[in-house]
Amino acid sequence: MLEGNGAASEAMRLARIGVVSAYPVTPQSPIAEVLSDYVSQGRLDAEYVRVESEHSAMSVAIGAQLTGVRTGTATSSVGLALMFEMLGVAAGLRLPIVMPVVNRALVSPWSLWCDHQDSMSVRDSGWMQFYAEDCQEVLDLILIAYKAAEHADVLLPTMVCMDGFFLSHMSQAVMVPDQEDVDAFLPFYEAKNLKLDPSDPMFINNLTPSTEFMEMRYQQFEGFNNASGIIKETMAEFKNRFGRGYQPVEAYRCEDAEAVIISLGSMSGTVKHIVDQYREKGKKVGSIRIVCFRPFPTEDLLRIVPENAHVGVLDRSMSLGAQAGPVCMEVRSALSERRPDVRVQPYVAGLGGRDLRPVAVTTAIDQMLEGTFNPAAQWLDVNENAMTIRRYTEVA
Amino acid sequence: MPITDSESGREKTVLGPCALIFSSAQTGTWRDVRPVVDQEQCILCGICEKHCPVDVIRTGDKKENGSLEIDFKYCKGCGICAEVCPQDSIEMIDEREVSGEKNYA
Ligand code: SF4
Ligand code: SF4
Repeated sequence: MLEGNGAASEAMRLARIGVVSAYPVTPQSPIAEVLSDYVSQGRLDAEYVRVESEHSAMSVAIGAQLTGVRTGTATSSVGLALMFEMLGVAAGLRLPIVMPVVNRALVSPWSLWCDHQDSMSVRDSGWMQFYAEDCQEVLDLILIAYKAAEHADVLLPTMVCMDGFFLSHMSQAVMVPDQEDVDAFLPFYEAKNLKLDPSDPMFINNLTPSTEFMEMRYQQFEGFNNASGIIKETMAEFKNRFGRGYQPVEAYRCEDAEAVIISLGSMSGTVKHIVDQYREKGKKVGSIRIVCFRPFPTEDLLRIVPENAHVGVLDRSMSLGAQAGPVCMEVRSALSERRPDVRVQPYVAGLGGRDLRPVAVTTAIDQMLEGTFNPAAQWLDVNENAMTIRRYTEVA
Repeated sequence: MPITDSESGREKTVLGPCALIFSSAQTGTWRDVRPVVDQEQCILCGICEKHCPVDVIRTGDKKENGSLEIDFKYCKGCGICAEVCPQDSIEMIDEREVSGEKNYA
């Protein structure tokens, strides 16, 4: 039995990371603690660097990975926000660092609990992003992430996101593969780009003039283009070896569906359960789960969204000032030109640790089956008194 | 930028802002005025060479018919050389007059 955090630590141990630099932050702390135990018990042959912040955690990981070692760090919420600057450095230097991100809301209001505002706020930072549905997937996707990220045609850092508490602190039976099998799948790390070597000094990350900057951004763009196919190949290889299959985007009971819910992470379990209930009643409802948000699986999505479907996207974060949350905007831009038969309805749900209650999902599905459409985000399961939730009495 | 693998001598490419040597930071791209030397007037005293902040001036030997050479890949056009020359033999001219649209050598 492992919790999501435990599954992440196991995956990083199996990947034989050589340097750990992690700063604890709820709900990620158990990863930092367990990796520290592994190192002190000798179960993981790694250097554990105790850093003073997440900015330093990522800086150390970058420096270490540049010398040609597989590194490990993990974070959450405000910790990810503090890392922001260094996320771009890791990506631009093409370091395939793999980092579990335990999703937690961003301040303010202050919260310890799950939503996707943290990882969504860094979706354009040059990192690939996978979203796990359960604890087994946390372990599997981390191993897949290392392999795909380190491919010479990819070389992109990767976040493996898991919902805070819903996954990070929930126990589940998890199959932990043998070290030998993991070693065969994920060989000893060798840097594919240049690496730092004290005997052959090198200057990195120099001030890059406009004559080269765009070309280097373009290299990253190409890395993401290559990643789409390589992730699929890696997932197929993982299935051959370990028996568990994944896709960048997964369809569930989508045949002839009139209403389809698109979601990420642990929300998808609830959605599929409700889809089953509708199907039992003969209603044509399906679910699509986006596993790989970066690179966004546009082509696969175009293929699996059923004809004339009403698509509802459940965003667990909001792009304030926009009509929809980030996942919905992405889905709309993927489908807009090439699938005029499909309508995409934005929904926002489950912020700041609120459970995705069945009523939130059934409300969305019922609206879609009735044909109700509103281009702006509909907030599901929000208290009617939202605007007056805190009151006070002025004393004269 | 292509770099050379020191052991095998094979040319390889590097992704992102990694470099083996300073050569990747082409400060010449910053230049909007260019130092032009009047070789007749220049006495090859070497004062400008000592002052150049990016060390791209090479003063030839008078006896060997030498001249003053500037590496425009890195000359950033600061004008210090023109400022310190006792002979007033360096003139800073608009870069576009020399290289047209492309602003570095
Ligand atoms: S202009 Fe500045 S950088 Fe260029 S040669 Fe003169 S002193 Fe050196
Ligand atoms: S300072 Fe003037 S005279 Fe002396 S070497 Fe430079 S250009 Fe020639």
